[in-house]
Amino acid sequence: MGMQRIGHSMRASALRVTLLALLILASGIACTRQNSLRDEAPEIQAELLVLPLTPQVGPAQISVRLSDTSGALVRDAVLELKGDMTHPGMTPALAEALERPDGLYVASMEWSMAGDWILTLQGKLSDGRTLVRQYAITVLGPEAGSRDR
Amino acid sequence: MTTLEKVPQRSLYRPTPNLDVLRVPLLGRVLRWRWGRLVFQLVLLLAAIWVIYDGWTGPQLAPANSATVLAWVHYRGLVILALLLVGNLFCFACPFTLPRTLARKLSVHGRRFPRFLRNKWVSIAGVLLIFWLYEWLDLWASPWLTAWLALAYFVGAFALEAIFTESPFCKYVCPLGAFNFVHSMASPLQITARDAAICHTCVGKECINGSSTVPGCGTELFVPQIDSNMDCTLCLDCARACPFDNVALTPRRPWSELYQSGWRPRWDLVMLVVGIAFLGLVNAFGMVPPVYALQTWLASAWGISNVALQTLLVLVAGALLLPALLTVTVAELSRRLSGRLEQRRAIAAAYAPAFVPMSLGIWLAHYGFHLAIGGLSIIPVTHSFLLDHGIAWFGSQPNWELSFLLPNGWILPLQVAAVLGGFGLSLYVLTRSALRRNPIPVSALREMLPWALMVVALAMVALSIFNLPMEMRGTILGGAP
Repeated sequence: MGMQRIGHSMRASALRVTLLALLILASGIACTRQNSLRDEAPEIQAELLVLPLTPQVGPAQISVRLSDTSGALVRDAVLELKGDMTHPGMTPALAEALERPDGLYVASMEWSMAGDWILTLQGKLSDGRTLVRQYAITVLGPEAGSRDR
Repeated sequence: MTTLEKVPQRSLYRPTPNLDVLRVPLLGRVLRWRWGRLVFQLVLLLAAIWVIYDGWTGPQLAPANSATVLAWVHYRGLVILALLLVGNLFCFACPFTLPRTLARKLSVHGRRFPRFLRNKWVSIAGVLLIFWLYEWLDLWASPWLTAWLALAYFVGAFALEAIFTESPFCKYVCPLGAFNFVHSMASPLQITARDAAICHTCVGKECINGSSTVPGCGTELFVPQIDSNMDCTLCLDCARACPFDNVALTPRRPWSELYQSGWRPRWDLVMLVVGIAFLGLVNAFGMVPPVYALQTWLASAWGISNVALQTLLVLVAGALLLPALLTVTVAELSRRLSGRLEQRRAIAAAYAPAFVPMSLGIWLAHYGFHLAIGGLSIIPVTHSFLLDHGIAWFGSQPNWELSFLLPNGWILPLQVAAVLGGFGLSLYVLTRSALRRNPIPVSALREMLPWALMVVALAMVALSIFNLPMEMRGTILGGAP
């Protein structure tokens, strides 16, 4: 009986030690996590123009204007746009925003479904820093017309 | 003239154990092994830990976080497929009951779950609560809240196990379990006794009482009396505990239980089955444009602009009051048409199981849709998760275009097939139930007609909803505070 109790106590201790080790390991992993979508250029202003102005299911044109703190255009950036629906598992809309001679970055996208979208603007600035911004957009159904939302 | 007729006595529905999954080489050994269930539970435990961890620490964009993708795309889609093709696999591998052993050690033994709660009303309330939170808080759009929901499940299961002696969480409380129990009634596998005579002479009844090493059935089912998958978590403790190796997991015609098993006339069981079928419609309705028109109408006509109250009203009306009202009315009509002097709930209990295939079809069309269009999205999400932890084994750019599991053009036809398949089987079960109760076909037709019309209405509404364009609203950039 005594030996059994000692064995039981040792197993319980081993379980506690294992749980504690796992907890420390998990905390360590959590601390090392770095979100790959990290904005390194918070001072850059990114203005978005979505056409049509009332987004509807179908094609859309998105223009991005980047400017620094002095208001000057930020050029030579490589920008990508990713449109996600708020529901998981939906195919995102992806597009590359190409720089025009006037300094605007323009992309063509397709809103595949009505509802709430999160548009993520991600890119590399000419100095190598990453720019990340997110915008909320509500897309209307093709039949919605001027439905008041 | 009405006559007091005696309903034919139903024998227990027990499939003949010609094939026993527990005796299939290797698989059978794994399943019957004392730690066999634990292996599968650990797999889902890891998934649950991932959900909680990523939900709390990962990106709060639902399509980019494993918490929301695994919970709302994969779990839901796979659970309904498993129920359709195999059985209650997700209760079998449920990780929420893993802290049970610890909870039992801490428990104050001897206290049983209160008698007045030993029914399905708590489950029904739980199902409505979960769906209300889901719709109101847009749980699908929030990895952070999804993680908290998973944790709440662990805490809930642990607490109930610690307080009460049986497993009340599984049998009386768990909303996921209630959903699984209902649809497992149409599953192709069932626990049964290999030889009922052995059970009759068994003294210890270890399948329910447990042995020195293995607990008995947590939901208190006695193997030789099992005539339904309702309440069976497929844990297989009965098979492990049986000293005579007399428990089989055997194939059966998936829908035969629905007209052969003898249900006790209980409104809670009836409402669980019918209510979950209606809930399938309400849940799908929440993803199509008319729901926003309804919300606008509630705000303008009734002054109810609070979203929590709006969603509660729609859920209670659509998944509780409407099915309750229809079931009672249809039971009364059925009684009058048949001329039986029978309680309404007895008629309802006889025909309610026929709603299981219809319900399965509706949920399969909805959850199968999400799995079909987003099944592969877990690949870039996992890739992104690894990158966040500095692991770039698969390159530095997740392929976010990976999403569709099936070609887009297949999905609507498959949804329609699921609804029509469920509808056809429901009609078949109604017919068999009616003929079982009424040997004369005309009497059977009269009695089943109101139920058939109710199933027709459900199928028509389901087809209408699935033919509407989807529109998904959610907490924009929401989630963690």
